[in-house]
Formats: sequence, structure tokens, C-alpha cells
Amino acid sequence: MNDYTPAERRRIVVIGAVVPIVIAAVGIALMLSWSSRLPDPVAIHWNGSGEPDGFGSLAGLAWMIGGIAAGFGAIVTLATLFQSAGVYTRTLLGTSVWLSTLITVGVVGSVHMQLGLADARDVGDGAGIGLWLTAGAVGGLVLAIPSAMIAPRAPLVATDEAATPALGLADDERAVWTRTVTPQSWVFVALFGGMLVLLGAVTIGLAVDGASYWSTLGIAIVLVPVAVGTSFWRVRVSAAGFTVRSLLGLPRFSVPIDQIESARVTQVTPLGDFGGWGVRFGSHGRLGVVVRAGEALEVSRRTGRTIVVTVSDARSAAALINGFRERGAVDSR
Amino acid sequence: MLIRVDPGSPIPLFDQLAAAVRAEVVRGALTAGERLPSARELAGSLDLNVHTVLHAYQVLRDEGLIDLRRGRGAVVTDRSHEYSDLAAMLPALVVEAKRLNLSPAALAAMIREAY
Repeated sequence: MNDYTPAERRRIVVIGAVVPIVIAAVGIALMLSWSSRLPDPVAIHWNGSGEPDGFGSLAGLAWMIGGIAAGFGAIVTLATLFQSAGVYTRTLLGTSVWLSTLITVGVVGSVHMQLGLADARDVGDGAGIGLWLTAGAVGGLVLAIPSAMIAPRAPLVATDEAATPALGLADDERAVWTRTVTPQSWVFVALFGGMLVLLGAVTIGLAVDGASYWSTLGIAIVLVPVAVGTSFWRVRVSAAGFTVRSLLGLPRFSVPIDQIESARVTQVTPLGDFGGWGVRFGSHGRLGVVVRAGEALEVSRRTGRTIVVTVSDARSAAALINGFRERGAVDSR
Repeated sequence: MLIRVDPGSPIPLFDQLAAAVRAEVVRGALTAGERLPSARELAGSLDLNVHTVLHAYQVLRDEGLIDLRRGRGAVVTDRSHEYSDLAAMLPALVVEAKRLNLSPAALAAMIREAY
């Protein structure tokens, strides 16, 4: 259980579950009140050219709306309360309201189009569906954005540690710390497995049906370097400062030693702290180079911004940075 | 890996560098298959002559701790596993030398004699 106050917990339940379920319930009640004036079965699906191609019962639609709103609401609420959603807490809670509105308005709207018809096949007009779905999406945003804004933020995780004790450096001593960052083995397997599947699919696609696969090839050509470039990094701490550089050369982030306030070791949960892997912006002005879970080096700039890199032996790196800082402070006295 | 060298020390810089790499292997901060920074990069970071770093890398290659290959750079070999066994024996040696008030140089000389 996270450290939310009881009031915050109530707000999470209201925004994540109660509001979405109430929206769905109002829609279902409205829809059922029309049942005597609707064809049976009603149209529930439209094909690409705007003609109804799927039919079902009103009760089925009611269950679908209720199921999606309640199911998603329950998952989001429980995940927020028991398993920190971190930087995405408010987005997730807002999404619950948005999804429920979208589904309710879209489905109820599509049923409304069939009012007074004897046979659902006569409804035709697929454009109406598009309008209702757009109305649902926009209306959902109108409700979801303020909901997300009043939703509680994830509590700040207590600082793991103070700045790591400085490494004692002799006046003339020179030192450097470097380390390569690679993904956890399962990420590694997933990454390259995914690439192989993608490349295989493109190759087969090109062989079977040339033209339409060139766009996929284009995507593959862009994705592969991005995946490699954000998964493998070289981190260096030297008298000049701190640098983390992709093995491809770019991207690259560095902080000159005289702009560093301090360094410390921290623990990173990729999803919770940064919402995923790669180069990420976390809350509180943290820039993350997040390749794996666990040990990470956190470098704080004098401006208050921080950069976090998931890397082993972060303690040595932090101690060396603080050693350079301390020696610099003595020298300039 | 953390590398520290002190130009003020009587021990040659290439020797200090090689010793630092060995120490990182023993500490487990460098493992088999890992690539060391290029000699040029390391020389730049430590403000050393690139030949000093190359000299250290050659010493380490000659003892079989790293592989030097054109284009691949310096890569730690499988022999690195065996270094920790040797390193485990050192504390006892050092404790005994300290008890006898022997300097590190004297202990090193004794080890050299024993060879």
C-alpha cells in the first residue's frame, strides 16, 4: 500500500472507478429506456464502407459498456493504490474516465441512431458512428483532464541515500571511472527477438508483395538504430565531469564537473519512476537513461536538475564525482 | 571500472595502471568479455601519454588478462576468473607482513625472491 492519505485514497477510488462507472450506468439506463422504440437485434458493428455488419442484443451492449468501464476502473484503481503507477498515476486515473466516456457515448450514440427503426439494417450511415465516437473522445477529454488534474500525485519516494561519501583523492592523483550499460538479459532477448521478427516479416512481405511493405521497411530502418542507441551506453566520470553516451555516439549527455552539485546512488523502478525504458523524463525534473531496474547513479546539477543512469557499481562513480568536487572545493579556497 | 594513478608515486605510471585494472578484475567490477576504454580515451581522461596506456595494456596482454585486437580494442579474457582465487590469498600475506613491520616494497621483494 502506498503512502496516500485516506482523503487521497478516496479521491483515487472516485476518479478511477466511481466516476467511470456512474458515466457508464447513466448511458446504460438511457439506452435501456429506449428499448421499446429500438429494432431487435440492434446494429453493433459497422464495416469500412459504413454499412452495419454486426448485430446483437441491447443487453449485450449494456454488459459491454459496464464491463469495460468497471473492469478498467478496477484495474487502474487497484494498481494505483497497491502497486505504484509512479509518474503515470494521474494519466491512468484520467484515462479511466476518458475510456468510460468514449465507450458510453460511442455505443449509446450508435443505438440512438437506430431509434424508431423496425430493422437495424436500415440504419446505414457509418458517418454518424464516426461523429458519436469523436464526440465521445472529445467529451472524454473534457471530463478526463480536470479529473487527472485533481487526482493525487504519486507520493515522493523517500530519498534512498544521502550523497555518497567522497573518494579521498591525493592532490596530483588522476582517476577515471567508466562502465558500459547493457539491458537485463530478458530485455536484450525481447529487443533482438522483436527486431528479428520485424526484419523477418519485412523480408517475407517484400518477397511476397513488394510495394506495400516498403513503409514497414522504413519503420524497421528507423526503429533498429533507435532501439540500439537507447539500450547500450557508455558512462564516464573523469576530472572533466560526467558523460553518458550511446554506443552509437548519439544521444549523449554530459555535465561538466563544476556544474555538478553532488552524486549519489539510487534505486530505479523503470515503470514507476520513469514510465518505461530508454531516455525518459521522470517527475521532479529528472532525466533518466533507464536501461534496467535497480542500481543507478544520480547526478544533481547546481541548477537543481538531475540525471539518472541505471548502471552497476554506481557507488564508485558517485564517490569519484564527489571526490573531484571536494578536491576542487579545496583547491579554489 | 575505477582507475586511479598518482604521478607523485615512485611506481611507474604504466605499472600503476596495470595494477588498477587487475584490482578491478579482482573486485569483480571488470568481468570476462568486457571491453576496456580505448587507449586514447583512457589517456585523455587521465591526462597521460597514450603510450603509457598502451604499455600498460601490453603488460596485461602479456600476462593473458586482456586480448588486444585491432578494431575490437582491449577485451578482458576468461583468465580473469582465476585472479580472484589468487587475490583471496593476499590479505593473509599482508596481515603477516604488517605484523613484521615490512613495507609493501619489502613484501614485493620477498615474493620476487620466491619466484
